[in-house]
Amino acid sequence: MSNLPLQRRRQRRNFIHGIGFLAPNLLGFLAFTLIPLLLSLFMAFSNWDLRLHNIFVREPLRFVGLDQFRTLLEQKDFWKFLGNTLFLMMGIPLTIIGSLMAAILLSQDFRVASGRRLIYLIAGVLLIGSTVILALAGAGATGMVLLMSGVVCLVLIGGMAAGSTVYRTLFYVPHFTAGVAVFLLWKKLYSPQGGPVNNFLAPILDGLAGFVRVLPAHSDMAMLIASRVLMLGLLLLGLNVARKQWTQGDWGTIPIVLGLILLGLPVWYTPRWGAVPAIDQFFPLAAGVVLLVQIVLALRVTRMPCPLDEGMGNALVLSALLMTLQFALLGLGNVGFHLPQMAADGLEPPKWLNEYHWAKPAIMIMSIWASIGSNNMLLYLAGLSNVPVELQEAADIDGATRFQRFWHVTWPQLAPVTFFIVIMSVMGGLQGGFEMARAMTAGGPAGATTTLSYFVYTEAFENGRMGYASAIAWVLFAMVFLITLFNWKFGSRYVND
Amino acid sequence: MKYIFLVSFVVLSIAGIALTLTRSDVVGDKPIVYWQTQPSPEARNRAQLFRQWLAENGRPDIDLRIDPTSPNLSKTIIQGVSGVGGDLIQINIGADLTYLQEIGILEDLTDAALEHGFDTSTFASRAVSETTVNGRQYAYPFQLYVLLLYVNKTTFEELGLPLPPKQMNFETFERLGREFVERANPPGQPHRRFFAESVNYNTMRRSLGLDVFNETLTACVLDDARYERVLELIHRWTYDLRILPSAADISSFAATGGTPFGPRLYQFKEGNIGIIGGGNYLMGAMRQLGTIELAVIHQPAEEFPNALFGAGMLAMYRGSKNKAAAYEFLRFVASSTWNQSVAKVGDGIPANLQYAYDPDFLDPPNYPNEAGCNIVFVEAVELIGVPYSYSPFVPFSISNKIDNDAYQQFMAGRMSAKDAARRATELINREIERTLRDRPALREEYERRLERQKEIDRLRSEGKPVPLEWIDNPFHRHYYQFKGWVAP
Amino acid sequence: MSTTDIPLKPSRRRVWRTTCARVTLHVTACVLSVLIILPFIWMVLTSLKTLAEVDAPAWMPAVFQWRNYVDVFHVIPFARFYANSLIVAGWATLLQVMTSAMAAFSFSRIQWPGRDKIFMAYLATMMLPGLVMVVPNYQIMIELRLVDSLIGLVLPGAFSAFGTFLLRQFMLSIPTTIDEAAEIDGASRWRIFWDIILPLSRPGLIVLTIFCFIGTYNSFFWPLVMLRSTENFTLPVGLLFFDSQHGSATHQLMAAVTMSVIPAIFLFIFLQKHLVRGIQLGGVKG
Repeated sequence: MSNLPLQRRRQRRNFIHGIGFLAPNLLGFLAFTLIPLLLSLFMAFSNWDLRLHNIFVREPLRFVGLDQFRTLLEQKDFWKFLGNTLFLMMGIPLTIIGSLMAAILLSQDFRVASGRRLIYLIAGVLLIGSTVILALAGAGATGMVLLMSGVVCLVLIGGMAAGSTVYRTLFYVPHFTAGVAVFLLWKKLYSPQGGPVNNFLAPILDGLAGFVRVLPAHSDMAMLIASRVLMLGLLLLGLNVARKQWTQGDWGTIPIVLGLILLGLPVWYTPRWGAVPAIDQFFPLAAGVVLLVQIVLALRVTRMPCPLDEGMGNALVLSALLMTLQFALLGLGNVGFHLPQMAADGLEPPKWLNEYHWAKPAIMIMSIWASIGSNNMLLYLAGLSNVPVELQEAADIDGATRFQRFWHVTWPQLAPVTFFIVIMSVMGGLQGGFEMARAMTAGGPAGATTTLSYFVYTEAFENGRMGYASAIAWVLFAMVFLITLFNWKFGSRYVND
Repeated sequence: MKYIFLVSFVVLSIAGIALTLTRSDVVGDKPIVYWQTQPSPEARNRAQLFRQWLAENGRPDIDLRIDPTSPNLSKTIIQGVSGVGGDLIQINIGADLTYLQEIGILEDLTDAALEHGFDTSTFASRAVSETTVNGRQYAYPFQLYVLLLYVNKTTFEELGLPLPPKQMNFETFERLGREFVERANPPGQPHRRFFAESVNYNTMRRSLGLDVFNETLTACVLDDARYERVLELIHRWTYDLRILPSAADISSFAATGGTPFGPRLYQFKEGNIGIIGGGNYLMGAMRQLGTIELAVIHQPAEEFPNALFGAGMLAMYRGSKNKAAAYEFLRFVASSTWNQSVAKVGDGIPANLQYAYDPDFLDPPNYPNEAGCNIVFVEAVELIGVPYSYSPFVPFSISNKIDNDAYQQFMAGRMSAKDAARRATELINREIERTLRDRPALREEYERRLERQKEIDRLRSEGKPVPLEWIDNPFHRHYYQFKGWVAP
Repeated sequence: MSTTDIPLKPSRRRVWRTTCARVTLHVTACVLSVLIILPFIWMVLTSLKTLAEVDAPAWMPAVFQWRNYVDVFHVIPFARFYANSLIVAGWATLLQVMTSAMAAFSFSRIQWPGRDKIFMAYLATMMLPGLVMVVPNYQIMIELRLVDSLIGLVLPGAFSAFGTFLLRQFMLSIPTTIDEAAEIDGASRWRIFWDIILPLSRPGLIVLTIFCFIGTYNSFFWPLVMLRSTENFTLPVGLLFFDSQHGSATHQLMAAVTMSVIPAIFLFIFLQKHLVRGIQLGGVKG
C-alpha cells in the first residue's frame, strides 16, 4: 500500500516535468497556431476589415454567416485564380517524372577505379587556377569556351572522384536556393529583349520561320489535324491500358473513373480552346467513339474481381501524365495552325512573363527546373535503394528488357513513394505560386499568374479584408483537407504494402 | 553539443544587440522624420534645403530621412492601421486622402495650416477639394500636377512633319499618328517607332461626357457606347494602325534603354516615341537625359477638353511618434523657400499659383528648350484640370483597379469592348453593394443620393438645368458648367 | 578510364564494356548537371558585366567588373539586409530547435497523462495550410505591437509542430535503458535531456537546423507582410525592393542575387549528407 503515494508522486512529478518541458513550445503553439486558428475561423464568418476595425476606428464587428463564402463563390475572379492554380499544377506530373528519371540516373553505379584521385585533384587545382587567371585577365568569347569547358571538366572530375554525390548536389541546388533571389534571376533570364532565353531562341526561330515559309499550303491544317489525331491516340492509349488493367482486376472502378475524368478534361476543353472550331467541335465526338469502343471491348470479357480502389496511384499518375501531354498537344496544334501566318513576318520569340498566354508556362518551366532535383528526387533515390536486388535478378533471369524490368519490378516498389510525392506536391501546388508571382509578375499580366495564395495576399494585405481573406484560406484548406482524406483512405494501402 | 547551443546563443545575442544599437533611431540624438519619396537628387536637395531652413529660422534640428519604399496606397493603409505608418504620408490623389481620413489614420491639419499660412484659401481653386474632407484640411499640397502630353519637337522636324496642335480631336490624332508611323517606319523593317506612348482613356471618356460614376456617385455607369467607342479607338490605334505601342512593344523597350530613369523617357528622347504623357514633374528627369526640344499639348479630346489633375500632398500619420518634428517639415513645405524651390527646380506646380507665375518657372533661363511648356500646365490647372472621381461607397483603389483591369483585359484581347465596359460596371456596382452591406451606416446617405439622382435624371431628360449642389461628382460639376446645364 | 586497380581480373572485353558504360553515365550526368546550373553561371557572369553589356548575347564580360559587388552595398543597405536575414534565421533556428527538442523529449521520454492527446493535436495542425495562419497571425502581431519588427519575424518561427514531430521520431529510436540507468545514478530530468538525449539526437538536430535555417532565410510571405522600414528588411524583401527601385541595373541585381544565394549553397554543400538522410527519414516514414 505504501507504494501508492509513491507512485502517485512519481506520476505527478512526471506530469510536471512533462508539461514543463513542453511549456515553451506549447505556449508558442497556443499563441501562434491554436488561437490564430480559432481567430481565423471567426474572421471568416464576420465582416472583419482592417479598414473598419483598427486602432483608430472601431466600427462594430458583425457576424455575417456564410456571406463571405457566398461572395467568394460568386466572384468570377476566384474561379479564374483557381483555374490558374490548377493550370500551374499541371507541371507536377512532369516534375515527378523528371525527379524519377534523375533518381534512376543517379542511382546507377558511378564508381570508377580509385587510385587516380591525386591526378584528378591536381587537374582540379589547375582548372581552378586557370579560372583565376582568367578572372584577373578578363577575356572575350574564347574565355567563355574556356570557362564552360572548365566547368564541365570540374564537374566531371568531381563526379569521378566523389561519385554521384557531386551530381546529386548540383541537381539539388536549384531547389535549395529557390526563393526570391532565384525568381528574380529567372525574371531576367526571361527578359524579352536581351534575355538569354530569347537570345538562344531567336536564331532557332529564324531558322524555323524560314522552314515554315517553304512548307506547302494547307500544312497549317495538316499540323492541326495531326495534333488532334495524336491527342486521340494518347486517349486511346490511356483507355486501352485502363481497360486491360480493369478487366485483369488490377485497377478498381474508382481509379478508372477518376482517370477518365482527368483524360476527359482535354476533350472538354478542345472545342473551347481550339484554333478551328469547325474541326475542334468534332473532337469530343471522336473521343466519344473511342470511349464507346473501349467500353464495348471491356464488357465483352468477364472481369477479374478486385477491390474498388485498387491501383489508384498508377491510374492517377498515368492519366495525369496523358492529360498533360494532351493539353500540350492541344497547344502545339494551335501554335502549328497559326505558325505559317506568324512566320510570314518573321517569328519572334515569346515575351514570356509579359504575355498573357506565356506567363503561366514560363513560371511552370521555372518550377520544373527548380523541383526536378528536389526532395522528390531524394525520396526516389531512397526508394530505389530499397528495391530488393533479388527481384531485379529474378527479372533478369526471366530475360526481361530494361523497360519491362522497370515497369514490373521497380515501379510497383516505388508506388508508396510516388503516392506520397503526388499528395505532397498537390497540397503544395494548391497553396503555392505566391512567391514566384510576387517576385516575377506581380500576378499579371491581366491576372494570368494570380493564384489563390496571391489572392489571399491581395485581399488581406492590400485591401485589408481580413474576413474575406480568411474565407479564401478556409476554402483552400477544405481542398487540402479533401486531399488528405483521400490520402488516408488510399495511401494507407500503399504504406502497409 | 551543448557548447554549440551556448556559443550560438551568445553570438546571436551579441549580434542582436549590435543590430539594435546600430539602428538609426538609437544612434542619433535628434528626432527623425521619414519622408516617403523617391531618392532623387531633387529630394536630397530638398532635404538639404530643409536643414538650412531650420538653421536659418532657428528651429530645432531634425534628422530628415528619405524613405524610398514606393508609396503604395494599400501598403500605406495596412501599415497605418497596424500602427506602423510613416510619419508623413505622401498622397497623390484626393480620393486616397478621403479614404485614409475615413479609416482614421490622418491627423487634422486645418489649424496648423492656418498658422503656417498654407490653408485652402491660398491654393489654386481646383486643388481645394483635393486636400480637404468635409471642409477640414488633412494635407499640404507640395506640388500640383496635371497630365498632358509632351512632344519631342526634334522628332517631328526630322520626319518633316508639322508639330501636332495643342488640341486634337480623335480624328486629328489618328490622322497625324498615321502620317507619323508611316514616315518613321520604312517598309520592310520591324515597326519600332510610335506616334505616342499612350493616351488616357479616362480623359478620352470624359471628353465625351462620360465618367466612371454618375452625378451622385451612387453607381458606375461605364456600360455605355461612349466608353466602347473609346476602347475600340485605342485598340485600333494600338493594333491596327500601330500608332501606339502595345504592351509587348513596351516590354521590349524595357530591356533596352539602360538609363536610371526608365526606358520610356529614353525612347522619347531617341525619337522612337513622338509623344509621351505626364505631368511637368517629368521635366526634371528629362533634364538629366540631355536637351530635348519640348512642346506641351493636351490629350486627344472631343467636345469637353479636360485633363487629369491632382496634387502631390503630404499628410501626417495620426499614430506618428514624431509629430512635433513632422510639423516642422510641414511648416517647411508651407514656406516660400519650399514653394520657390518647386518653381525653380520645375518638378511640379506650386499649389499656391502665385509662385507659378514666376517668369523663372514659366521660362526657365537655363533650359530654353522648355520655354512655353509650363504655362500650358499652369493654364490646364486653372482651366481644364479635373481630379479623379471617387465614390464614398467604394474605395477608390478598388474602383480604379477594376476599371483598369477591365481596360487591360480588353487590350490583351481577352474581352470585347462591350464585355469590358459591362464587366467594369458590374464589378464596381457589386463593390458598392458590398460596402453597403458591410457598413449599414452608409445606407441612409446612399438612399438620399439615389433619390437625388432620380431627380437629376428626370430634369436632364426634360432638358432642364440642375442645381450645382446636387452634383457630387467633381467631373460632372465641371461638365455641367461647361455645357450650361446648371440652374442659376 | 583506368581499370587496372580492379583486383579480380575479368576478361578485357567485359572491362572495356563496363568502362564505356561508366563513362557514358558520367558524361550524361555531368552534362545534365551543367545544364541545371546554367542559370547560375549566367547569373555570376552577368553580375560581372557593365550595364551596357547586360543585353549582349555574349555571356562573357569583356572585363570582370568586381566593383558591382561593392556597388550593391552603396545602392541599397545590403549589409543591413544581410545581417537582418542571418540574425532572424539564426534566432528562429536556435529557438525552434530548442523548443522542439524539449517538447520532443517530453513527448517521447516522459509518461504523463494527456500526453498523447496533445501530441495528436500537434500532428493535426501539421497539415494546416500556412495561409490560414498568416491572416490571424498578422492581427495578433498588431495587438502585440510587433508589426515591422524583427522579433515579429522570429516569434512565429520559433515554434514548430513539424520540428517537434521530427525530433520525437528521432528520440523514440534511442533506447530507454539509457535514461533509466541515468535516473538510477541520480541524474535530474534536465541533466538527462541536456547531457544524454540531446547529444544522442544530434543527427536529428542537424536536420532540423538546416530545414529551419533555410526555411527562414528564404521565407518571403511573412516578412513581406510584416516589414515596413527599409532598415528592417530581410534579404528576400530587400531584393524585391532593389528590383523595384533599380530593376534595370541587371548587373548589380545579379551581384546581389549571387551574394544572397551563396550562404544557402555553402550550407547545403557542407551539410548535405545529413540533409539527405533527414529527408528520407522524415519523408517516407512520416
